Amino acid sequence: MEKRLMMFLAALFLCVGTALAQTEISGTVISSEDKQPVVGASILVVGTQMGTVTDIDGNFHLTVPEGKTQLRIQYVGLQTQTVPAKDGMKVTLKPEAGSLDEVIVTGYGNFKKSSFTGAAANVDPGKLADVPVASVQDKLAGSVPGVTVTSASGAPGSVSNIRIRGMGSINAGNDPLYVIDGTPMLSGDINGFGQGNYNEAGTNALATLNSNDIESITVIKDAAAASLYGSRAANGVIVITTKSGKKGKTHVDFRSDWGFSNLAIDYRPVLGGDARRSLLYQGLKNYALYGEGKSEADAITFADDNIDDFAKKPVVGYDASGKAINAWTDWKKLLIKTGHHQNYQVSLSGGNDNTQFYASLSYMKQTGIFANQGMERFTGNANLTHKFGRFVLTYSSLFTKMNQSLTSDGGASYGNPIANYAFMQSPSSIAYLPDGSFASGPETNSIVSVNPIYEALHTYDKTDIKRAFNTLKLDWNIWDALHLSEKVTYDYTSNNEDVLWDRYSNDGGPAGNVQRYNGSISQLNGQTQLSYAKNFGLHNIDALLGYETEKYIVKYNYLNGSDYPGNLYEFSNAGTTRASSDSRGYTLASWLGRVNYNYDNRYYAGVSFRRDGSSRLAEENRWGNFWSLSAAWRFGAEKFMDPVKKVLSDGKLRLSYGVNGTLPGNYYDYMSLYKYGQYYNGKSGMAIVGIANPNLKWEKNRAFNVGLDLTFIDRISVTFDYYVRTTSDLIYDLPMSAVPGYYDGSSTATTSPINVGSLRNNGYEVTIQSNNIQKKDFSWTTMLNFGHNHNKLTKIYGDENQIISGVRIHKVGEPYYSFYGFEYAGVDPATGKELFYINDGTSNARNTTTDPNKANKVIIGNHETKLEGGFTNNITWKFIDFGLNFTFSLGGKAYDAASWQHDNGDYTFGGQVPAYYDVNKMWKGPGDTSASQPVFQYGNTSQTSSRWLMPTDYLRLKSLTLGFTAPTLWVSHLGLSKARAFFSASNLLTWKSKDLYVDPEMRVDGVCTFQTPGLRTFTFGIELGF
Amino acid sequence: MLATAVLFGLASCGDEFFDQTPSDGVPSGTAIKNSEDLGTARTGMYAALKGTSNFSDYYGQQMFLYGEMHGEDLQYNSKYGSNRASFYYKMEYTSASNFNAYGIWQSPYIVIQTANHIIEAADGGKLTDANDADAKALIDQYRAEALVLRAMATFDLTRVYGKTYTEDNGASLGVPLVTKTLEATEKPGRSTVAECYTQVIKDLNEAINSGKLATSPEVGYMGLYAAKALLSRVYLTKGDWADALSTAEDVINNSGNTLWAADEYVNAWKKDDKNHSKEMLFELSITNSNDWNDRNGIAYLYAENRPSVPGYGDVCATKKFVELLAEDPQDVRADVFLAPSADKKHVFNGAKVYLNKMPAANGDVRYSNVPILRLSEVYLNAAEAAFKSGNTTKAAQYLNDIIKNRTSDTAQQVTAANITLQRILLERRKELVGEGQRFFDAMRNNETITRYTNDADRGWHDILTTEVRSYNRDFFKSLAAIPSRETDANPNLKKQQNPGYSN
Repeated sequence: MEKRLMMFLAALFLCVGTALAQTEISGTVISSEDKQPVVGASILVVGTQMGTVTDIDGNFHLTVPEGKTQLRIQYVGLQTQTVPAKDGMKVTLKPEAGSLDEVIVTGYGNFKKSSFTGAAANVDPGKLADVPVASVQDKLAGSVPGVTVTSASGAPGSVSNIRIRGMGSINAGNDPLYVIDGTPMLSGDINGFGQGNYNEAGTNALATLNSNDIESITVIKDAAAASLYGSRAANGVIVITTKSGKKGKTHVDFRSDWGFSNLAIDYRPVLGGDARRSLLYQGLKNYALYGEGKSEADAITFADDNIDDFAKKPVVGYDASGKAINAWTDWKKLLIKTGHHQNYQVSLSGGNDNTQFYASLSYMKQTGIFANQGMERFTGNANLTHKFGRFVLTYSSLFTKMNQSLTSDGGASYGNPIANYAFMQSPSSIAYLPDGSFASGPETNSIVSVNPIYEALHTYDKTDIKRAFNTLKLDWNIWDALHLSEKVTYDYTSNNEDVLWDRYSNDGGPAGNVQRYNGSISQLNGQTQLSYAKNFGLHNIDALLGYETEKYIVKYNYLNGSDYPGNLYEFSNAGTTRASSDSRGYTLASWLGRVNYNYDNRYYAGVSFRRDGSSRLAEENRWGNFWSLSAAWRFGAEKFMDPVKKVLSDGKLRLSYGVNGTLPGNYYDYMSLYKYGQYYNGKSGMAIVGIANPNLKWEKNRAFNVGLDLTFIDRISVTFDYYVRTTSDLIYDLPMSAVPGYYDGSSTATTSPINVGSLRNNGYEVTIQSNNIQKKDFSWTTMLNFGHNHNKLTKIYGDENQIISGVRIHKVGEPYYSFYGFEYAGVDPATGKELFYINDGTSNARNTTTDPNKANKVIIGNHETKLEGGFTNNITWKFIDFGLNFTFSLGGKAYDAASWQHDNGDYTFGGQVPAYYDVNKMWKGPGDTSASQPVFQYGNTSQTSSRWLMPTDYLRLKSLTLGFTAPTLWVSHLGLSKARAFFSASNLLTWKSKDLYVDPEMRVDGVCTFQTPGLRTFTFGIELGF
Repeated sequence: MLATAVLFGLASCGDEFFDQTPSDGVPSGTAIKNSEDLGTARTGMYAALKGTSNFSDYYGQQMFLYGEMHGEDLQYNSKYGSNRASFYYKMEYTSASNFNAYGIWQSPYIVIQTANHIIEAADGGKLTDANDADAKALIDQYRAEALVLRAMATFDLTRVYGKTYTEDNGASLGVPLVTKTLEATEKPGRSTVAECYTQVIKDLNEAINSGKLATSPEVGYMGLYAAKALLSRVYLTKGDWADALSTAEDVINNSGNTLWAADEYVNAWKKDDKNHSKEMLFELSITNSNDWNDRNGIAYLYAENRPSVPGYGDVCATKKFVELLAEDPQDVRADVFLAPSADKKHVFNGAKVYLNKMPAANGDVRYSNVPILRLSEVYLNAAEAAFKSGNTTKAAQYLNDIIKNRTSDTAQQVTAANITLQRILLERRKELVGEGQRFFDAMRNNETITRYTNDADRGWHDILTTEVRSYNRDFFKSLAAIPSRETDANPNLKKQQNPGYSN
């Protein structure tokens, strides 16, 4: 290829020998990469100021004055070429190294990164294709600075939470807007009964997408592009582009992988049976000695008399002679199993000049590490583009059938296997009676009298999702560069969930109970866009006008059956049934416009505007205006930079400021309502439910961003961004006094949604990307990204400066996720009790007390990290490819909210004892000054204190991939175009403090109880192309 | 084009496009238009009194546990229970935040709020059928019931958070008094106990004297004699013996209700028993799985977890109370307790420990009604009030009415000569056990509650901290803390927290 180009150029040079008079010439510029025309490339006659830019088909016309023969052709992200001028010439530009040539997809137009004025980053899902995750969000971890991915649960298909540049809202949601192929799409939890009810995992709407169908993901972080999404863009936008067909021979690709998973960390280790017994013995003795004032001898008698109540080695069977065999129960072994997964996918793509298509089918199955956890998914995708005359028709259809099984996790519910393992069972409780049958009720000897193994067999929580996402778009090139497009999208999801507690279960006994949620979520979107993009000499203009509507409806029927006479749990068999249903929804209508201008690809300016009207607000507050201004200067293209070009290949400075918003999360919060369904004596009564706020408004988010993009020696690119995000008119569920007698409908809380205050996030983000080695047989790229976000609550409401809910405190001047409790001051040498700083704000503040009533709670820490990011290496050597992706976080704190276990001897007497109780470190008696743990004593109580803060610092080998691609020569004999085998692992290694006994990737607020921890996954796969 | 049609179709809707309304409620301004709507709101008021599985902080559950678990006759069943009844039993609470999950606070105020809305709608003159005589009668009746429920909730709150009236004649702090509908943003402070009693008595008398309360109300609704029974309880608690006695006698003589006979007693607790209504003046009516409180209902906590009729088995009788009942083998009240169907830890040795005053209906205790006001209590009120006013004849007469109907052992009966307050209170404990009265009775009579004193007489008790094994009303924990959820939202109450508690 290169040889041919050289010959071509040589031929051109030969022609130049004959001097030209002033001539009109035409030519075409294409890109070597995709053979597509380069739009907006600048053509300059060397030695003059004359020039032009290529049009939408890559064509240019130019008058070359006499004596001038050379043209300089340049385009951002492509290597500049100087070539002899010739009519009918065709110039092929090659890509430049670095990141400035990436395409930023905003959903309202695609931009070369070099011409983009905002802050955005691309994620190439191809690089992470080998790591099997159900949801595409999980691929973002560690890939983009300023983006934090967390999950409340490691269960398959569970909801992931993404935070872009911290949290900008309290109540109206912090998740970004997800846009797929230009249409805002359903995201978050689509579990029928909802995340947090029968499970904490939830059902991730984005798990319905096959991540192999995704071509690219762009994360928009600032206001420049996000403001076009108006009322929903305050938390950033994640723009997903799905694969579409390419002109050429039909390709068939097949990929499949299989693997297994287990716990990524040693989750909440507990004491073994003997260690637990001796600790509890000490606890009883201490109780008698210090609680009852008994003598040493009496204390020993007391402990001897009572220890078997709490820590008896259970009988597990009988030997041949009928003698009892005693053994401690290892609940981790009983409850946690190895998960398995498999994945198959086949895709076809191809097309001709006018028609292109892409189609795929996939099947995925995963089982979790607990009984009843798993998911199974079948997806199909077809995408068709047809060009006729001035029209382009695009049709795309995605459909999904997904089954998900979940187990109760999160809080300390009886069915939660994690809470059972870590808290409610003990080495002294049993799952099986000596004869091998299941233990039940008090026989289990657990504090809750429940056998989780038995319960798992008699309960289930099954979700069935069906989703169809169809888009039809017609683009009409009216005239010149003026396009009108009409697009309609209908997204329909049915979400059904069955929760069974059968006749023999603890929750369902004696006659069984089934709950069924039959729901549907539909969203109809219409988009009209008029766009115009044209170059006038060095002036480039790109303008857009749009009108959009959205109508969203959620409906459900709820059925409840109980009093079953047998084991068939359909509702027609139930002795008692009841039902309820609901329908709710919202509408949104929007006008929008945008103009981008650039001069000579050096100076850029953009302005955008959007006006949204929402049904979620009262008429007078209904419409909101959102806008942004942005500018960039590509100083790297300036002449004065030429001397340093060898080192600093390119550079750009970006600035943006804008306003976008967040809508209230609930649909009718502005209406005060008497609600029916307040049942008494067989009648449906009514009462005021919900504390309405007729003055409810949008949350307003003002975002400022300054960014710098630099490329060094054509090899290393550095992106730096600094931002400030301030959110005002925050909607907060403000706790109200219960005395007026009103309460929120969705819970028992006495709260009302009020636009109360403001939050500020500021921070920086750095991405360094380097093409270390770029040779034919060997390539090595490295990417390091990191960022820090500082979040601060700046105003609450009136004179209020703090809101406390349990261990969480939201206080003005502090990060939103701050923790509130006593400040732990070690062990009292005299009594062995926990000491707390008095913290009363007087000179007495640093004195300590063992009496919590004399101490004051203070802010004891927060969940904010100092630094977090990712480090990625990708190496290709001959037929081997190798990838490593680390994620890390420094300086954050989490709070262990499993407070039942913090009592130094109360619940721990009935259940597991966490391994952090170390008898050797405990207070041994009056005067013991070396103890680092308080006295362990029966009947102690727990206090919320800084003792239970956990450091969240970690470094995690998030993913590792090793692939082998067979040389084309070998496989072509078999009719294959590609054959690759790979191994991948996720969460393979985790380095963390041993004081963090839960997974470092945790709930967003850092308050941890018994959530399913992250999984370590091993995968083996193959890829074949035909 | 289809696409264009849909787009412009949506666009042309104008403001109607934004008119989205919920499917489960109506704007509150237009909700109560006539007597029928007022009746629907009345159902909502009783629903608040009954609670739900989420609102268990009043008569659904906690009000009973508050009155019983503090006491010495019932205990948390620490060997078999689910920890739902241990809070007021162990009394390990030290801070207001401990009360967020168990405090009796929110639901009584919801009852008051719903009652105030009904009263104001009835008084507002805007009900469209207020001129229709039948409708007007209903409106007046609902209004009177609302007054009684408002009084009951205010009285209960005052008993829980304020010192018992007789301790300082109501001089100390009661609870915030709410006598009209409030804005959600209001943050009232506490009135004195005396002010609260004045309002409670005023409301009850207004309702009673209105003549609009039903003399034989439908099961589950407040009637005239239930209101009077409540009033006698209020007077008794206030130490107004004369009014307590005369009100109680009014009920005894005029209500038409009669005491269950000894042979009727055990079965009469069943809501479908023919004698059930004889004594039952007011009970919460539970009819189906829509209006039950599911497993958070008090009946479920009292019931043993049997394979056939499950419960949580959180509450059992104390060993001392079982022994107390056993002193009179003829006393039928021992039989309202059930022996364990299984006792795998060999705790009870066959003793009858599970209280069965809310027995299973349709095979499930969740369908049982919840007794709140009973004629026996009125007799006991009369006996105590008579005794304290010096009328031992009447005291003996009313106490013997109870004794005669509970035991065939005539030696148990008293005379005007030998009756003592202690004897009356003992009878009260036996009769009302489990009905949520014991702790309040002990407080107003300044009794010391003794659960156990040493390991030898611990019985089935869990190991309790020394301070709660035996205590009286001088102990700060004899008053609940206002939950920190409230004091954090309401600074006026934060300043008025009961002593001894941290936030």
